[in-house]
Amino acid sequence: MNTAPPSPAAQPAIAPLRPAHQVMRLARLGALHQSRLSFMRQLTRRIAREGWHFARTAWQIDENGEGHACYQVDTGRRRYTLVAFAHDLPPDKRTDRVIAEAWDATFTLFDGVPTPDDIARLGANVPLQEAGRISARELTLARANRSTRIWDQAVDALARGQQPTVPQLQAVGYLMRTTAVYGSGKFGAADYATYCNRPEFSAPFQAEMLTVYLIRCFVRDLVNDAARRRAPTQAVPLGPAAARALGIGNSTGLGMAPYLVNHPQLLHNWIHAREVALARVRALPQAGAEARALFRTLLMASLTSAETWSTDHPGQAARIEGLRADLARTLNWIDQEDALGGARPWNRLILRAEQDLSHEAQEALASLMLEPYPALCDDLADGMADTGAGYRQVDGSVSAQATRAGLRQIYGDLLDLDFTDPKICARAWYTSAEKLEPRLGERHQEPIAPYELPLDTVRAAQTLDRALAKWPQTAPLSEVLLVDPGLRAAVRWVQLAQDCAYAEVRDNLLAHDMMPIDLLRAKLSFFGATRFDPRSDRWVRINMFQGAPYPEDLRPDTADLWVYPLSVDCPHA
Amino acid sequence: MPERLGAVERHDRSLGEVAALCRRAMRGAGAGWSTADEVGYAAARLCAWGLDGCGTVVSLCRAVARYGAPLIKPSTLTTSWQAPEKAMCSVCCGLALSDTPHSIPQGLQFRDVAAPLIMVPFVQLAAQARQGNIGLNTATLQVVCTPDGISCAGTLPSDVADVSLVLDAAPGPLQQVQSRAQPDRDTWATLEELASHTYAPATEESRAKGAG
Repeated sequence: MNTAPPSPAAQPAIAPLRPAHQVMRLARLGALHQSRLSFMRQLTRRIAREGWHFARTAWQIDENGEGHACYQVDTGRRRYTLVAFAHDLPPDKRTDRVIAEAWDATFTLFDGVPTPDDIARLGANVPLQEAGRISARELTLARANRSTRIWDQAVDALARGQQPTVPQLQAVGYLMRTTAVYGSGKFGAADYATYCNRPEFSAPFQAEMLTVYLIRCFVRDLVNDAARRRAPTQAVPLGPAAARALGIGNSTGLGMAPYLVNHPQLLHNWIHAREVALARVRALPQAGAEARALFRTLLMASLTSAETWSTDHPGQAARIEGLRADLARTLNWIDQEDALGGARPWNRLILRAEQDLSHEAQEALASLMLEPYPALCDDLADGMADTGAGYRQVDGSVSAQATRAGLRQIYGDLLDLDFTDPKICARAWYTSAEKLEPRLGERHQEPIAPYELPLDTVRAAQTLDRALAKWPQTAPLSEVLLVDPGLRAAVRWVQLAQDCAYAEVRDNLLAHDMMPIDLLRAKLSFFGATRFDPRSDRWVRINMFQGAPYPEDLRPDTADLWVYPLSVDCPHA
Repeated sequence: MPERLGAVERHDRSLGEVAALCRRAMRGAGAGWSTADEVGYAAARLCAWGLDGCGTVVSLCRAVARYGAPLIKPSTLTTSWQAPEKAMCSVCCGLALSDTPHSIPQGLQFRDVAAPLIMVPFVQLAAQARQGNIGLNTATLQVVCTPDGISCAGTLPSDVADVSLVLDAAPGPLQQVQSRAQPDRDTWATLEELASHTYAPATEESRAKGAG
């Protein structure tokens, strides 16, 4: 099934990478799907490979469902502890909005084993979230709310000695959803740089993914506990099938949207890893029988998933319908036309998909065709983190002329957009005083222009281009930046993008019809999220770890393909 | 670790928090976002070297507020830089050096630099790029920037000071790198007040639009 791992002396053959001007468009970024390079799956593979040990080391939830619990992870080298606080939240206080002040449950991932003093300190701060402080001993801060639709149904069923029905579970897919998972130094947490050299955290967002994975364990215990408290002798715990069918939901809004613009090197690393993996697979001269069989199985599983993937967002609903039809067509190509036979079948499949299928299907197939080839793809995961300082020095010796050529090469016709047209610069990103989170406003209708955040990459590139046009073309940037320091951000962006083609989104983020959910989906697909359910153009619900084995069942043979609904006893979809 | 139950030590901050707040404070003081980005970076670096990055940023913000956008005469690097009737912006001076690390002449001097400590992270980047040490001196402070870090002797400079550079200076023991900052409480409050100018007041309309 797999080609031999690439030897040090010979890198695998590679087809041309898809060009950045094709990949880095919002329409395509907004159609990305999880893949084997996604961070959740990197985590579960590592847990299984290294044999991490999980234990619930504290359960102090009282009769009102309030208190704390601890879930300890031992990697063999280090220990981490999720400290979870459960609260009895009145329904009228429950909101996913970032302006919330109380939640059903709050969490932190402690770097080690907390003492009673630590627990007391955390108990005074973690439930306050942004209004509290955590320390360098804490890696993440998170909170979650119940899905009111399903929580009460589940507790009722379990209390009556029954399992919640599969359709009920499938309709929502989670009992609780996180509304934020903070890491990287926020609110006093440890900076990523302080732990990024630990092997277990060398991939991106592993601390955050581990936090969510442990939250899922807690939620299973919490719902069982709620049922047991209601009916001590009659209640049953959630069965394995039902538990696996439940992930942790997440509600993601504009707070995440600027991330891709503010972390261009990281964005490039993620996209580049996936594109290289795709290019390696496309270069394969043929597809072996096992690879073809696995691809077909996962394609069918994806079709099953798509059939129960639902959303009220009209645009996304239409795309899901298109995806179902396109995946069915692909299955037909394989079964009726032997599309995976012959020479370079993966390459031919991608090219045909580009001609005939939607972006959703193209990206789904691009992810799917990596699955039979872990030996070709998984090593690329190592390049996805950005362990540099995150600061890139400007090369001041580059000439105005060379910079203008670089700008034109990266942004093309976008450089000529008319930013005096109200539709072209309709939007402005700003930070609200209310909760210190990014928002997207209508520039011409709201008094926000003075607060505008520097996310206007295309407009800034145009400003740089026009400024440089007035200089002698041999003038070095160092002289230009002395006169006009405000051009520096655009200079940095263009210099990075010339080295790292996938660093820049090739779309105007100020346009009247720009959809922030495209940015959100791109990032969330790399997390490994599924079931994208946009609630508007600005926020989206997703599911994380749905179908994943719980720690007691996480082994190398179950740790990877759990995201696909494969076995009869995993009725999630 | 904190002693009081229920309260984390107020002076402890992550370097990420330092960078984020100092960036916003500089913007709130009137600088552009590009310059503010650099100040955030510089502040975190200074704190990592155990220096008072936050206090330095407050000093720089005050200079920006007083002098407006400080000017440096654009020219090729001669040996003495000065902005007539104004203090020079330490960020701009520092960046000018890190932009052209291979063209720094020996004996370069900067007159009346506001918050001169901010130059240090950029001079250290220049030292890295040219793989050679660069000494940065004021009347009271001697810093040597090496490709691997900085050494520091003397006392912190006043708000505005002359700065001279010495190529290939010999360093003292390098400052130990820290992973947290311990800013002064009042300094942090000042930075937060400056940063607050960058936040748009919420309106009912923005909330209703599902803004976040």
